[in-house]
Amino acid sequence: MKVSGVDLLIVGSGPAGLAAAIAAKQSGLSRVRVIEREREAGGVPRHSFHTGYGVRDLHRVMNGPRYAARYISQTINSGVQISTSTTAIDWADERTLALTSPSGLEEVTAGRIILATGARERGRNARVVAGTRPAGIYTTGSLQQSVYLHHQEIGSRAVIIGAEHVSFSAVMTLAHANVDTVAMLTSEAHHQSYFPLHWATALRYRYALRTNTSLLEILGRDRVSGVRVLTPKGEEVIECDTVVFTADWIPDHELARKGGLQMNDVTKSPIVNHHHETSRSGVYAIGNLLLPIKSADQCALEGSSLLSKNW
Amino acid sequence: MAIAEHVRELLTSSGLELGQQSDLPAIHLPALGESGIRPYLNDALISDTPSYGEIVCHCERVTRGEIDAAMISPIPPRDQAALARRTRATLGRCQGFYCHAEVRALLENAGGAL
Repeated sequence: MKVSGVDLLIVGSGPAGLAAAIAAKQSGLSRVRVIEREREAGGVPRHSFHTGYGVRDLHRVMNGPRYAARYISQTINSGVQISTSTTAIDWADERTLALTSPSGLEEVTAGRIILATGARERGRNARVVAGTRPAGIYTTGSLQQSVYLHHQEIGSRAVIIGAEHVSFSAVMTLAHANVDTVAMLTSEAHHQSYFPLHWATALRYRYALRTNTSLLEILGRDRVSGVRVLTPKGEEVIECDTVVFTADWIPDHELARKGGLQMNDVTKSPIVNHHHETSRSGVYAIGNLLLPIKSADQCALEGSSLLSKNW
Repeated sequence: MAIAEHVRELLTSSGLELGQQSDLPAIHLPALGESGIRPYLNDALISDTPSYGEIVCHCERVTRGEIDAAMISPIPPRDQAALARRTRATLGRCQGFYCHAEVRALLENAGGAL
């Protein structure tokens, strides 16, 4: 097993992690390393092709992959080492992480560790939805990767569960894959996004936003054949071959929990002080690991401001 | 195996010539349980075959090496559900938020289907 040391180890190469790495270099730290468990750095923006990235941090608007590419090249140019396909599997010590990668096992001891592991959407199981388990069930994250990174076949008629910002991103992703969105369901009385965004997407993609409507059951044997829903007027079956569960975010907090960091029971995030330091000295948490969900530019600003504040 | 033995006896007793019995390929069960060393923790295995150090399903820590091995095994899984039962891939807490597309790509490239 390899043993190494760095001044700063950052877990996660999304906007928060990369922005923190760049800021760390600018503040004069010499050995800064970012580890990323996916094959490519960039985090969620890398498979989120809609526009709107970069407003608050870069003061311009671009799509997700271009936004991710900018941060990656800036990080590499500033002399940070990015290790992809590298997973932090456990803590070996207070500030030592055990890593697995195709080059083998490694233990890295760091002066400071920043956790920037992001968040994921709750899937069908975590939401405890009744019914069968056919193919054709996605979250926005898995849908975007299928469509944009692997160009896989999706289906023809989709129902979207949830009506938050990311739900509209799902509509655009489905349209890109030639899938009609037939309905967007929310058990709330209104959608939870910007009114112009909903208005424009609904006008362009022509789906029905069904408020006060909850999902009762998923139907279908090998493939989704429909969903049974409860509307204010009673039960109804909507025929579809694809169901996308959107939003309902949960932090990807396994590493924080494994380390025994104090956790917030409500947000499921590690508890941090005003310097973003967790209950363990020298271990910090930023980005969507804390109170998901924030936009990419907000995460990046959180990452870059972390070092200017207290280091 | 007991059913196969019984069928063989029935066929023989009905007068069918079954010919020479050939050796079956050895079946190695993948190390799915946590009692032994899973491939992602096996330094010797990873240095021999680096894809055993490339985790594809992060929740269940299933590596690309394990998925490749399942797909070229004597009885390869044909769809994603079968691959999941064989390797644990996509069966963790995120239920495929991160790995669904990647696992599906590995499956389809090896001749399986969604």
